[in-house]
Order: sequence, then structure tokens, then C-alpha cells
Amino acid sequence: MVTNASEVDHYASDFKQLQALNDNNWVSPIRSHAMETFAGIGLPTTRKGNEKWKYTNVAPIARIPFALSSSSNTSIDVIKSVAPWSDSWTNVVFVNGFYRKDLSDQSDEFELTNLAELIEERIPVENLGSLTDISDDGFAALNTSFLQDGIVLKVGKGKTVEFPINVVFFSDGSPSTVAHPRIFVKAGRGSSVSVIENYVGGGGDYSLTNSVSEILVEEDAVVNHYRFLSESEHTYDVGYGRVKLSDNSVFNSRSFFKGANIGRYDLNVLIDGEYASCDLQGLYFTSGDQHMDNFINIDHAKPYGTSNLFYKGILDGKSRAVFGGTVLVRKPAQKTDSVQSDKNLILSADAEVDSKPALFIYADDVKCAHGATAGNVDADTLFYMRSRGIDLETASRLLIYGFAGEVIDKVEIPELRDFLEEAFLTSLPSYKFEF
Amino acid sequence: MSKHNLIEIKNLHASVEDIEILKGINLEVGVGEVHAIMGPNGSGKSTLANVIAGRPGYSVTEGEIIYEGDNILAKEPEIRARAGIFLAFQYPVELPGVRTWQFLKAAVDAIRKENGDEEMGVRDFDKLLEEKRQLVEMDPDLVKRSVNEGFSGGEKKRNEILQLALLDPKLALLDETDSGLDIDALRIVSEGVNNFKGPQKSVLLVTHYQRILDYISPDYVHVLVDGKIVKSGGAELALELEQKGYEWIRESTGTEVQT
Amino acid sequence: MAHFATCPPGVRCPIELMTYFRINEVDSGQFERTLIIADEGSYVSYLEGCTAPMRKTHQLHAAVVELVALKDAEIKYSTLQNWYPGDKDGNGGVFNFVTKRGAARGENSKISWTQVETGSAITWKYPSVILQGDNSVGEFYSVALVNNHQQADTGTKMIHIGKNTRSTIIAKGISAGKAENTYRGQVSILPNADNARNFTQCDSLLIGDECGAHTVPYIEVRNPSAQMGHEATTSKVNDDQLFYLQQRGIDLEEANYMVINGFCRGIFKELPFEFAMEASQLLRVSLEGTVG
Ligand SMILES: Nc1ncnc2c1ncn2[C@@H]1O[C@H](COP(=O)(O)OP(=O)(O)OP(=O)(O)O)[C@@H](O)[C@H]1O
Ligand SMILES: [Mg+2]
Repeated sequence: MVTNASEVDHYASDFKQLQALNDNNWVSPIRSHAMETFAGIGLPTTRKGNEKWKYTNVAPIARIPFALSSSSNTSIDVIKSVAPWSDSWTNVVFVNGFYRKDLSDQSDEFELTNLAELIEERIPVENLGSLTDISDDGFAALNTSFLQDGIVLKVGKGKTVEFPINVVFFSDGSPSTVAHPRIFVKAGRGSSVSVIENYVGGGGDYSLTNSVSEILVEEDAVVNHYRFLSESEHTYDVGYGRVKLSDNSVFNSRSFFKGANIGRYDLNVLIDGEYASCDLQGLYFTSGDQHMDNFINIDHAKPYGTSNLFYKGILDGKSRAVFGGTVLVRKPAQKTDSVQSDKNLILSADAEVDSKPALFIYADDVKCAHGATAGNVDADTLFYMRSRGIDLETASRLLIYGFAGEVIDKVEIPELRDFLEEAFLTSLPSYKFEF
Repeated sequence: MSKHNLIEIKNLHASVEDIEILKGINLEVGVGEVHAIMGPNGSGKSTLANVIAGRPGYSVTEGEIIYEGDNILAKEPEIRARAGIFLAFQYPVELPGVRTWQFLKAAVDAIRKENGDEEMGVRDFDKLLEEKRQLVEMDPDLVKRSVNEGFSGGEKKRNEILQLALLDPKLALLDETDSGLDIDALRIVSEGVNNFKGPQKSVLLVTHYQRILDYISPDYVHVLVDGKIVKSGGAELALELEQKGYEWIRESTGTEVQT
Repeated sequence: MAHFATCPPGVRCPIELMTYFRINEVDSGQFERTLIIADEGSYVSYLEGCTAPMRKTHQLHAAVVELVALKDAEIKYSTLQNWYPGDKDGNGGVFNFVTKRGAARGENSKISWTQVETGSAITWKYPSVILQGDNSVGEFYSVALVNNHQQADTGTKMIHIGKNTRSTIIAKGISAGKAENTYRGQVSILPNADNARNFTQCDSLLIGDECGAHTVPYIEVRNPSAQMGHEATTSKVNDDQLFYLQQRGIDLEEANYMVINGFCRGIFKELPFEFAMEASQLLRVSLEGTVG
């Protein structure tokens, strides 16, 4: 990777200012190390030979000298109008990357703190950064350089958290600003929790959201993770998620993409315990000039793991969707069972889908499969509907809804499911399939 | 008095990917009649049903299909469906993500619109659907799932009969709707067909077995071999076939039967 | 060394053109070129077989093959590659780096690559088809078997440019010993390729827990009327099938061979008859000692 000197210089000056604020704090060395790393690798603007970024050009992001954003006094109504919300949930609000205590709920069921407070109080967060390989990712390095605020959630042993924890990262779209939200979740042994991460807002000028989430799932724990990305058409959003599973643990992820100019979600689930399982599903709807890159990887390091990956995309306008997913089965991971699929419906002559679902298998007693489809619906399906008197337009609509519905239906939180149905189904374009 | 035909198939030749499958079918089905079509695997029974319903991919090279006095060959499948032609598929298609409820309502509304009626209210439709569902004794959970997705073979067939009851067509083309059913399901499917039958309704039933014909007594039985109807008769023909097999047809008609 | 063949308009070449390559020299390389042009309405089937004797050091084979099919023409290119793979510790063996390109240039033209790759220490090759002509067809059928320290990285590229273009990719990979087997393939459907169809199936079998099997497809679709489907599976040889055969009295090694031969049958049947027999034989030899 070639480093663009001015891009590094730019962030370096902001970095010095931030470091000066928290002198001699536990975060200082973490940030310094990350900044040094970033200076060495920069943003992944070179794509030749760079498999991780083969189909996504981040030059537009690298070109803009984004300044650190500051909080703003956005009202709760604005937040509720763009993000899923229920009063029965534990809602946590960040505006431009900064915690808004006044808009957030507290709970004594679990440990929920904002990172800024922990920095302020000089309480280090154990294992923070342990899942993030900053040497391999310029964006994650940058996020870590600017470690400032976010949430730290710890669910105690055996605790079942009944209502979801709804974390909203709202950007007010201040021009040329960047927020670096950080999420750290640790689900203790035998616990169970649902977390919704929302990235919403944005404005008429370019801004960047560069988040890092780390989720540690201990033995027998269950984490249901939802991610909703719906930002303005001028927002760049780069998300980096790392999950580590211990024995018998379960991680379910549902990711929904609706908006951002360039969106990238890099999720890696490390199956580091026996009999652990993950089920990763996603729905992306791209339109206009949007570009969404889902880079979803599963790393089976221990035996008896199961993984299911199921992503679906609907493409309209001049948009482009990229799916890159690798299932890696390491030598000790015998008896792994893994299925991976990426299906795309293309509704426009100017849209493009690039899919790269790869399998890397080093253990023999495994069952692994992947599939990918792109293009139109099949003729038999259309005929079945038409033979019931349904015209092409209605049949097409039902099929497009059904295509999206297959992922939305599996959301187990009723209020969230309703919200997503509304958010997606009302915006899907009308289209008539040919046969 | 000449009988009133709902559908007349005249010298129908049809091919798939340039292979001729139907080689001159002649068949008239009168209003109120039940016809059974039997014949060895691969003889063209499903092809005939599909061509009548207008499935893309088949080309009709000769002949015509007159339905209610009009040649329908140029008509789109949904137009034929709205005119009252219903095909119960031999292999019903799965529609992942498409909810059964929505699908069925869209189909009912399409026909209502055709007749100049308003779309059906949600409540009324729920009532109608529930009534028909009970008729075919279908598990209520199945209606909540995606169309046919993950249904067992028998459940799919029941779903076809549910649609038959709901859409109330004039001509029911039943392609092996009796195959793969347990005894109860066979009774339910047969009852479904018998409920449908009436002086204004016609049935064309493709089957391999006498057992469904015990429930639904056909007025005529036709034997389709290698794309042609080689023998027609009354209900007794099916019994004879069951006893003697297709070999007997070959001998008595001088046609080659490939089984 | 170079081969050029042109098949004149309308000629269906009745015999299979056959070449046989052999590398004899120690520490040597071979760099042949082949160009085949099938003129309008013609058909040609070309077979190549490759072997090399055992050598302690590596040898290099770097060839270029180019195919051009004009209107209504068809070229069928079959390869049985059995270069010396090196010994069981990975000493010696041929480096087989081959460039194979096909242009299905004319309307209704067809290019079909079939390969059975059992030899070489390292193979890198991606026979491709550029589907330029409307209604043109591209096919890639492959069996790649690696054992001991062999590495095979092979696959295809199907570039759909013309309308109604079709491509089929069937790749079967078998890995044994400490070998690595990778399918790497690209399917691109460009904006003007209306109604393009691709079907890809990649299946891998692993024998033993020291080998690797990898599947790396690149799928690029830029036309809404396209239908592209890719499927891949990786597993070991099915125990139930082995048991069924053993229960009928067949020994494990033979049962294993039968199952794997069945796994490859779809590819072998694309080969001319004698070649198919030879491919089965090759499979048997290459599998020797992999079970038990
Ligand atoms: N889409 C198709 N593509 C290729 N061949 C087809 C297609 N549809 C039908 N055929 C062939 O046409 C012939 C008749 O098929 P058809 O399905 O009509 O038989 P059938 O009488 O319904 O048989 P069965 O009793 O087994 O259901 C068969 O040989 C079948 O393989
Ligand atoms: Mg049939």
C-alpha cells in the first residue's frame, strides 16, 4: 500500500490536539501506537493486488481532509425519526460520535458506560482492541488513533437481558467531519443479549463515519447483533466488526444497508470455541450512485462449528454492490458445517454487482458450500404466479418484496422488524421483470 | 343438441427446444365434464397441461386451442388464468420470501379486477381464506409461511387444491395432484375436486392411478402415448388399463409404447 | 516450437487433432505456442497429452494457446496433463504455467475447454473464453487432482460481451497428501450482454487432513437480464457411499476410486472416448495409496 503523505499529515495534526487533551492517560499509548501504524499503512487506496479492497475505491474518502467532529444539540425527535426506537428498549444515543447522556437510558441490569467517561475517569477497558488488527487495516488504525468515545457493554455471567440495547450513532452531517465510534461488547458466560447498532443521519455535504466494534462472546453466551445503516447520500461509512466466539456460544448478525454514498462493512467472526455457531444475514438495497461493500468473513479455528452466511442485495440506479466473503476452515476445525450464499437482484441496466464468495478449507471432515446468484428472477417462478392470474407488475412487486422479506422476516424483535419493513418496503422501486 | 364445449384442442403440435413432444392432440372438453388423461412417463401429459396454461418455453408449431370460442394460443398466461383456466402443477414452485397470504390475495384480486369488482377487503379475504383452508384441512401455519417453501410434497399438493377452491376457475387442469399423497390427503384432494365439480365446471385430470378415479368418476378417459391420444373411452378404460398395463394399448392400437 | 491450425469454412474436421508433449531434457524449459482458428461453420477437436519423465530438479513448461472461433464454428480443446509431479517429498517436478485464451468471436460460435490435470509440481492455468459473438457459448470442464506436495491453481475466465451468450463451468477438485488445490475463476457479464447465462459448479473433495481445497470465484454482473448462478461444495468422500460399496464386497481403495471416478464422470464424458478411458486410468494411478 502506498501511503499518501498529506493524508497522514492531515490526521497527524488532529491527532496531536486530541492527545494533548488526555495527557498521560491509558488511551494515550494505544492511540500513539495506532497513529504510528496508520502513518505506515495509510488508507487502502491502492487496489491492484489488494484483494480486500478489489472492488471498492476509497480514493474519494482519502481525498477529503476530514476534521474531527464535535457534538451538537440534535433533538430526540430527529433521532427517533430516522432510527428504530422503542421505549421498552435501552436506547443509547451518540451524536457525531459523542455520547448524549441526556438522550440515553441507563440500566442496572448490565454494565453500560460510555468510553469518554472511562477515559476521563482513567479506567482502562480490558481487552479493548484485542480483536482488532490495526496493522492490517488503515481505517481501524485511524479509529484507534482517535479513540475517544463509544460504548462499553458488559453483560454478566448467566444474565439474560430481555430488551434490546439500541445504540444510535447519529451524524448531523457537518461538512467534512469524521466520527470514530467505538463499540466494545463482552457477553459473559451463559448470558444473552441483543444489541442494535444504528448509523443514521448525515447531511448534504461529505462526512465520514468510521466505526470499530468488538464483540467477545464467552462460553454458552448468545449475542444477537443488528446493524442498520441508513445515512445520507453524501456520507461515507466504514464499519469494522470483529467477533470472537468461545465454546458453545452463538452469534447472530442481521445487517441492513439502505444508505451512504460509499458503505463498507467488514465483519469477521472468529470461531474460537467448539460447538460455536454463527448466523450472519444481510440485506442491502443500493440505488442512485451508492456503493456498498460487504466483506463478511468467517474463521473456523475450532472443531464442531457451524456457520451460515446469507446475504441478499437489490440493486437499482447506477449503484454498485460488492460482496466479498471468505469462509476459512483451519486444520483443527474438523466437523465444521458451513453454508454461504449471496443473492442479488439487479433492477437497472446501470447497476453492477461484484461477488466473491470464497472457501479456504484445510480440514477434511467438513461440509462447506457456497452459492451466489445475480440477475433476474427465474422464469418458472414468474409463470407460477402468472398462472394464478397475477400480472407481471404485481408478480414482480411480490417477488421483490419477498426477496427482501426473506431477511427482514427473520428479525425477532417485533418493533425492529416493523421499522425495517417500513424502511425497506416503502423505498423499493417498482419494476417489471421480463421473461 | 350439440354439446357445449369449454375447450377444444385441435391437432395440437408442441415442442420444447426443437423436440416435438405433442404430435397432434385432439380433445374436446364439454362444460360440466370430467376427463382423465393417463399415459406412460414422458408421454407429454404435463406438456399438454402446461401448453394450455401458456407456460413459456413451449412452442406450438401447429393446431389451435379454442377456449370459450376463442383461440387462446397468443394469450399471456395471466390472461388465461383470469379467463378461468387453472393449472395445479405437478411440481409446484417455491417462492421464498413471498408470503402465501399476499400471493393468494393478489391472485383473487386479479380475477376480481377482471370481472370489474373491487379488490377484496382484508377481513373478507381472511374469512374466505380461512373457510377454504379448513376445507382442505391445511395446517394454519402453512398459510403464514412463504409460498410452498419447505412444504412437503403432499402439503404442496394441498396448497394447489386450496388455490383451486379460492380462485374458483372454470377449467381445472390437475397434473398428478394425486401423486405422493397419503390416504387422508388423497381423500381431501378428491373432495376438493368434487366440491369444485359442477354443471358449469370442467376438469382435466392427469393421473397414473385408478385410486383417485374411485373418488372422482371421470366421464371420459384418454390414453396419451408419445404425444398422441391413442385411445379414449369411459371410466372403465382406466380400470382396464390398471389391469392390463400400457402393453395392452400397444397391442390393441398398434402404437409403440415406450415406458 | 509452434503449432498453427486453421480449419477452413464449413469443414467438420472428422478426426481429432492430437499432439503429445514430452519434456526430456534435465533443467529444461518448454515454451510452445498454439493457435487454432476455426473458420465459419467449421468444427475442430484438438487433444493434447503431456508427460515428462522423473527428474530430481524442476522443469518449466510455459505455453501459450490461442483459439479463435468464427461464425457458427466450434472448437473443442482437451488436455490431459500428466507432467511429472515431483516425488512424494516434493522434490523435482514440472512448473506448469500456461496461458490459454479463446475468442468466441463469431455469432453462434462455441469454445469448449476440457482439462484433466493430474501432473506437475505447480500448475497455474486459467483457460478463458471471450464470448464476443451473439449466442456464442463457452465451456470449461475441469478435473484437477493433487497429491503429495503438488499445487494446482486453476480455473477459467468467461467474459460475456455478446447477447444471449452462455457459459458453463464445471470444476472438480481432489486434494490428497499435503497438496493444495485452488479453483480460481472469473465470470463477467458486461452491460451489453443481454440475456447472458452462466452456470458454475465447483466441487472439492479432500482426502486426509493435511491438504487444502480452495474456491475463489470472482463474479461481476452488469446487466439486469443476466442469470448467473454459482455453486460450490467442499467435503470429504461420503462415508455412506463408501460403506454401501464395501457392504457389497468392494475393498476400500477400489470403493474410493469408484466414488471419485463417479465424482469426475461428468467431466470425463466431455473427453473423446479413448481419452476418457485414459483419464480414468490416470485417476486410479494418482489416487494410489491415498486411503488407508
Ligand atoms: N422443458 C423441457 N426441456 C426438455 N425436455 C422436456 C421439457 N419438458 C418436457 N420435456 C420432455 O418432454 C417429454 C414429455 O414430458 P412431460 O413432462 O409432458 O411428460 P409426462 O407425460 O407428464 O410424464 P410424467 O408421467 O413422468 O409426469 C419428456 O420426454 C420430457 O423429458
Ligand atoms: Mg407429468
